[in-house]
Amino acid sequence: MPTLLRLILLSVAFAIATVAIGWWGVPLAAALYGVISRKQRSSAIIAGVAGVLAWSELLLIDAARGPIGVLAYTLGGVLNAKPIAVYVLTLAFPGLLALTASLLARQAMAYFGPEEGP
Amino acid sequence: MLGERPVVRSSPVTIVLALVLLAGALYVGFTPIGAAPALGAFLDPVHGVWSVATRANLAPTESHAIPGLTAPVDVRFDDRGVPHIFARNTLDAMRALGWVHARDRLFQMEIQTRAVAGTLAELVGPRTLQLDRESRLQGLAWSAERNTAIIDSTSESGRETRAYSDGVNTFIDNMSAADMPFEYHLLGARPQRWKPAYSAYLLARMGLTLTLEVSNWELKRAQADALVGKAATDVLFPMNEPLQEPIQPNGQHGVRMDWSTVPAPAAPNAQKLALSIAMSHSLAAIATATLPMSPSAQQDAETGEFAVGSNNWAVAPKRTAAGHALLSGDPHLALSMPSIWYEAHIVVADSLDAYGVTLPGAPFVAIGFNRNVAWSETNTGADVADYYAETVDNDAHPSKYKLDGEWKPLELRIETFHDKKGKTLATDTIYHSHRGPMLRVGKQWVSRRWTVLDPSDALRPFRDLNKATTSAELMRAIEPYAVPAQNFITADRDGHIAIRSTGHFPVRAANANGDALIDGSTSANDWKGWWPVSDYPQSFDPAQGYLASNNQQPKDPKVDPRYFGHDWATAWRAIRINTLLRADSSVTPDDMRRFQTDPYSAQPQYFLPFMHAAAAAVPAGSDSSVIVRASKLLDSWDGKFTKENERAILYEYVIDEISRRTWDELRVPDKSVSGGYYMAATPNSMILLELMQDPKNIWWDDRSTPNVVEDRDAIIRSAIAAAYRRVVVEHGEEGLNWRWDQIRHANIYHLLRLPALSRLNIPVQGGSTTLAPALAAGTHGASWRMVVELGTDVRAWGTYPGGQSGNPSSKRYDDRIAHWSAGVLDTLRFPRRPSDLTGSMLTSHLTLTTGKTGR
Repeated sequence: MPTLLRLILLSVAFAIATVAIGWWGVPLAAALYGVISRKQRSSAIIAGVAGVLAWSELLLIDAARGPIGVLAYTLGGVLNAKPIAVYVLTLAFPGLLALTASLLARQAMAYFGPEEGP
Repeated sequence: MLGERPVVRSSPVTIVLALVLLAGALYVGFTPIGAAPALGAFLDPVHGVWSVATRANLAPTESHAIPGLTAPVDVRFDDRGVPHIFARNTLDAMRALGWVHARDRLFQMEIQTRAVAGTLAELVGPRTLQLDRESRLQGLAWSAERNTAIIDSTSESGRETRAYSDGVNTFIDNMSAADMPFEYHLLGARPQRWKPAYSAYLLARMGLTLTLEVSNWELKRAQADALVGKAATDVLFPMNEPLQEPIQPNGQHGVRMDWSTVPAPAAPNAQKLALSIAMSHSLAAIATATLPMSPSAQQDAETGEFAVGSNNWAVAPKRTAAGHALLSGDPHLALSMPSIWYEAHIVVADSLDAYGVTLPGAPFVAIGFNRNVAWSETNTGADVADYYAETVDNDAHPSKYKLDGEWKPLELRIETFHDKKGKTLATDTIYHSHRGPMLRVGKQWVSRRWTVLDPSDALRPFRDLNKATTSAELMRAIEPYAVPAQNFITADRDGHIAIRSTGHFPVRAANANGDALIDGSTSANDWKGWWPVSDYPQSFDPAQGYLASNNQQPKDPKVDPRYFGHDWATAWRAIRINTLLRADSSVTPDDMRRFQTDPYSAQPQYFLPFMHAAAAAVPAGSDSSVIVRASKLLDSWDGKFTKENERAILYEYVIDEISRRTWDELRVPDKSVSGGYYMAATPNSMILLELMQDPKNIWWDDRSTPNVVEDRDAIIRSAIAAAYRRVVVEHGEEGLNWRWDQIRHANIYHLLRLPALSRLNIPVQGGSTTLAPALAAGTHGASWRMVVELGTDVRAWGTYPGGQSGNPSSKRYDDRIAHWSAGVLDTLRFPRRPSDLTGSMLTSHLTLTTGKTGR
């Protein structure tokens, strides 16, 4: 499957997981993806980027329904940060969760799982 | 894939690194750190704080179910975000009001409630523990719960309060993360369910703010007595103000002056001072700047002027241009985001059609109008709290107190304090005599008798006045009203106007004015009952054709010398509005609006001649050029406190500097505060004017210059020079930086004091003694401005500083501030039926249906 398509599908999956069970749906789904794609070298990075994309999609949906720019400005004021920093924090968080969960699952599978022969 | 070699090699280092990073991310995702919420739930775009933006604006149409509704309720939000609630019966209307209050102001409702209950620590953490302890000591929630329990639950007000509570809880029970107010996301908390008693909590809190903490006159008087003796104190803090422009017309056609001579200060009494300071500190602790309706900064420390300066006035048809009665409501309170008020219109066929401002958390229109009558309130400020020195059996752990020679058991109240997780933070024992809760002040136990803690059905008078059809009926409806005492003003479509200071006013023991600590060992000193309503300050359809109240002394003591209180605002605002109303025999609604932000004060016309005379006689010396220059500036001042005015600041500072120099005998040395002292109490500017009549009085002497005895003019000159230099130091050389809008601002703080949610530095028109008083802190101001014309069809205009929504991402969060700052009023829509609100007038149509809950 082309990487771009995989990325898109994965981000949609993460977004659905967030809607269904909350923010920790992201590391859960990413870990599952890490297990499934354990043979692919770049799967953790793809998961991390998909995590960022997933919450970007959800923020875009929020933006279509309300003034998230105003909210980011307010949040920035509350957190003593620029609004862009609030967006960065929001998107970096699922990215980190997805990347590390996927990487850990893949590594654990490689470490503990059965060694595959030629 | 068959035949493919694994490309991933396990690495312990990578595993450990990934594990640590993931564990860290999960930890901050799940766990609140310090004041910060758990990051995962907070940042989640679907269930976290971002989702709040999706509820910022009203949907064009919505439908929700409220269990218990007997018929669908039609709620139409107009283009100002005001809900017009059309219901078949009052209980349904109250359920709907509770629902919309919760949707727009839930966090405000909870934090105000918790402030009264002393449970803030359960919401925001242990940093508010001390405040909670003070709140519980006051006994407000305790008395509100007791009052709610004794109110007949089958009475109309009891049922309406429960219906309102049901509406609030329906919203809470069914709300999504997006519906949950921003602040809960920030605190990582969830709303608590609403109890009917909470409505009474809010009124109790109003009672605290408006009866006890406006100036704490008794405590200030006690400190002044300790510093300068009783004779001087009696004149500096008098029962009767020297300038009389009372609420109940006294038959004069202008202000009545009644000057006294201020006796020389006596030597300080250290023992008395220590006791009075301890008492003052005990009560001051509750005055926190972080809470709504906060009394902090209500009075300027140097000039003694009140920041809370409510006004109302009514004009009879014979003095209006259109021949219809007019009414102005202009209550001033601590400003907050969201605003203390929420505008609403409640319609129940054939029984209720009231529009005005409601208190989120209470099921009635507090200030407003219906199809026939308009009403508004200002604070009366009568003395409704006394302190008694009690004798107890055990100073550390009392169980009995002595009354009429016998030991009586104390009532004990155990109060437990919890944090957010339910962990016990502290436990207090509160002791009650038959008079009320006791405070330990130094070595003395003191109990407080206070009307606010007395049982009363606080909601009934409001629900009845909302339905009144004439001013006379409205006045009858509020006869049972107890606390906080208010000056209710009304006008009706038949052209009647009326005013009455209404509330429970105690009948005290002979010769007991409640102005000092009372001997608690005898029941002979207890209150004997309440004033009859017929004795309240009041007036109906006076010959002068208008009525006004501005927190001033309600009755001229020449008309009725009985003790009523002492905690009156200076009469400057009363003098000004009476002057305006006397001068205008064809008042229009727009005149009423202009009067609300009138830029003139009555005060300068009394003080400027003294300043001019003192400056004109300036001897040659180092300050003479400064004084001459400053005096020229004052002479060229037009007397206005408009935003562009460049002279008003100098006048305000001169008054401030005169006061600072004159009342130096009332300073209490305290190294912990800046300047090394604080003012025990400051006589108000009317007393300063009184002293002006006596140019050689020893009070003019500045104690910091031991070799010189200053007189009035020397102090005025010194004050003028100091004021000029102070303006230059603080605002630069004469010029644009002296503009009033560069100096005086309104600061509307959010309930959590978060600057990002506050609206600060809003330019305002008005000085410390104008009809819209503006003090330096800027934390108080007009909380609602309303003008009503009682014509064939009632017409009304109004605004308040804030917006209908408590959601900071909503355009309705602060959309009214610009108009409020400019003194502009919006036209209030007053539809008779739902179909009257259509097209551009209608923003959102909400249908509340019967049936099971669910969104």
